[in-house]
Amino acid sequence: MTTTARWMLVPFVVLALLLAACGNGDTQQPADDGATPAEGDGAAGADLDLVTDGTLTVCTDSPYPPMEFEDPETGEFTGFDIELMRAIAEELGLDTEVVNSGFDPIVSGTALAANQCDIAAASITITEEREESIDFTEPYFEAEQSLLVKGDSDIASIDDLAGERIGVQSGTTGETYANENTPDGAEIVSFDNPGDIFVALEAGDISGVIQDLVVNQGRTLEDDSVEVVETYQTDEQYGFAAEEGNTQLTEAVNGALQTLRDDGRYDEIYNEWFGNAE
Amino acid sequence: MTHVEPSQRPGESTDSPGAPPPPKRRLTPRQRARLFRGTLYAVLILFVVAAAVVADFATIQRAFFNPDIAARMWPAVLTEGARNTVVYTATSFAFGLTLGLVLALMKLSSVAPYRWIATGYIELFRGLPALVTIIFVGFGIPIAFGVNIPGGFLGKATLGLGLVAAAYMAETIRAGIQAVPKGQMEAARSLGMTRSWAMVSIVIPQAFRIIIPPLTNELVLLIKDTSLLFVLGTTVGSKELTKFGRDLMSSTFNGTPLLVIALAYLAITLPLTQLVAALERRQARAR
Amino acid sequence: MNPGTPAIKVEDLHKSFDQLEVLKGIDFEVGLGEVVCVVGPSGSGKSTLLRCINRLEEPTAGHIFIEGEDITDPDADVDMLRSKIGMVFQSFNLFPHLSVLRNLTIAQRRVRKRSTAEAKDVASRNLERVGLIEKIDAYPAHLSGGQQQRVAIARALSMEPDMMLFDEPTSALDPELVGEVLAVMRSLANEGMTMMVVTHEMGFAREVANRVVFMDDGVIVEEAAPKEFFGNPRSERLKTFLSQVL
Repeated sequence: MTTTARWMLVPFVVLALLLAACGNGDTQQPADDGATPAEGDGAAGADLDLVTDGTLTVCTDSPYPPMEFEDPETGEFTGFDIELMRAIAEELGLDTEVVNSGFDPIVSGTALAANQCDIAAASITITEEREESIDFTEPYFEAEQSLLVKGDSDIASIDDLAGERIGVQSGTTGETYANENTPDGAEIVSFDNPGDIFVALEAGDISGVIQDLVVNQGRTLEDDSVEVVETYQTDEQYGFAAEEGNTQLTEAVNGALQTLRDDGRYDEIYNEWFGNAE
Repeated sequence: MTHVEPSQRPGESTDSPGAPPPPKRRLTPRQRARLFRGTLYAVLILFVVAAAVVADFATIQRAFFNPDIAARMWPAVLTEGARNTVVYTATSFAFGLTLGLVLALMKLSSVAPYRWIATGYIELFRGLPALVTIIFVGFGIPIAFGVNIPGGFLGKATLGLGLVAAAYMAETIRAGIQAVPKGQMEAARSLGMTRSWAMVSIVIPQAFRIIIPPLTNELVLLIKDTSLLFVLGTTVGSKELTKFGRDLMSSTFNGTPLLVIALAYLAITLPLTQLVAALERRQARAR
Repeated sequence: MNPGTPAIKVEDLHKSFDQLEVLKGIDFEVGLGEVVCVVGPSGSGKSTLLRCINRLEEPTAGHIFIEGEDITDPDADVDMLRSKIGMVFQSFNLFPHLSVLRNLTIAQRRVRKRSTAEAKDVASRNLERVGLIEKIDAYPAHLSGGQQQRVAIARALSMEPDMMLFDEPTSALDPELVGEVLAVMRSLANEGMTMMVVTHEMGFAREVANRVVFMDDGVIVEEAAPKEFFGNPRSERLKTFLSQVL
């Protein structure tokens, strides 16, 4: 074979080798999220129609501490949502695998419909609108909205926001709240990636952030130059989201969640992340 | 013998050697050129000085040159970020090259529908932003056809970018095939070789030699397009350089990760662009 | 094939490129073992005629028979018929990415299905025949024009064709290299190869050809044995042409 013809084979060989080597790695990865299976009712997990057999694949929207973020030491996904999800998966006798798919694909239902994951845990507020595209489990967390600003800012309440740029995450109830309640003249800036919002605040690109209290508050613990100036009771509740019509999965998760509540493991996890249980 | 003194200017009187010359009216071309160059230098220096004065070096250093953060990124920036960028580039390049060759041959085919399909494909995927194609692959295909693309993140990345790469490479390959002198095919056929054999052993190998510089260019473009793959939903260990850097930027509130991944990208692309330039020079000489 | 069948028989061949008719009804034959030279001004259609014979150009009308088989028949096995016809091009057309040896063996292996050893044997013999055996591992880029053309002849010979077509084989060569190629062609003729040569080399035609054909403006104007052709041209056009080239 001529040298050029031999050379031409290289891309195909490379492709073949790489696909062979890396092809199955992604979907399994038991070492990473190795939750030990079958601590609870393993049978419940076995019947479910999952993206990967034996694994509960979870979509999330990271970084959104303390609900979901990457542990800087281990690189693993962690946070209240993730750890609660891991416990539920364990209860169902399943491993866990986390995919960071972003918020919009989750609430629009596309990530679930596209089989990126079985269920989504991303601080998703249960709303009627969203129920048209995704199925929610029972609520697992109560949330409120809040306004975060820099400590040296003059802003004391939502009414002071005329003429200011306010950051929100696109597709969230925080965005909706901001659109409905900020005064005229406030500029709402929508971010795709939640991690960019705090960076924008720090850089002075925006002067305030309207989003879930638990996340804004979490920020103040890391950075004392920012503070939460107002909280808004919105009676929001978070639910896990599954593909529309996947009642089998939502029921299984609800069952596992109830078990965790009953035997105190829910409280354990809650306290780990938020101090005292309600 | 008359000759023009270089210093003589039109309008200058030459009759009285002792008298002072009248004042200069116009600049010579050489003086004009010197003045122009001098102005350009002055503008440049002005910009540099202004930038240096305006820039807040302390902030820049804090925001982009934090050695601790940079140190923390090591070795993951290589073992995860750079490795994935290179892997995704390689697999989509291989995919795109294979499909691109098929499309190029289809476009040169005597069967009209093959030509139409190939043209349609090429126009479609060259006309769409790569990001849109990637989203199509990640979401559109699974939803519309109910199929899971095999290979996890790598599989989707390869398919998404590969479809785009194929469209660009098809045109390059076709041009390469057509650049091979017609006499080569004629000689092969007159020896009794079938058209397919002639294509495979004589024309295509020569075509590939011709198109190595533009193909290498395509490789560089692919490296940069891997930055769009994050929309497919990353799992642990699958982040390429840009996602790696962005996530670290938001968790450290610092721009140093951005600088580090920028350097990583350049470390990969600069040698390649130099290689392209060297290959182009070598081909120009061989002609 | 019976002994009387001509190697090449062209019947009423017409060829047009778009609106331009280049061959306007050619009737022509080359007998087994004959050496026929075709001469004429540029644009006369002589190269086109040659290239139609192995269907590198598609005839618009008419028939061409190779050893009695109609190569213009849509069902004809053109590849097989082509392998019986060796062709040498004005621009040599050696495969630049292959060595001389591989240039000579690639078609042998693919088309004649010979083993590597067999093919190399044949190749070596033909390279010796053209006087270039020492260049067997060289690449075309390292050879002079005359050497490349001789290798091209060896390549065509390696398919062991029944006849050889030459399309202005020396027109692209520097004058001092023409001789070596003509010498090879002359020795081929002496060995009895059936040859059809389109050329401007009148000396070669006069000395080596059995028959010389004059074409002008898409038709065969006159053909005769060299002595008659050059010594006693009958048509006005041929007389004019000869006065210009000789």
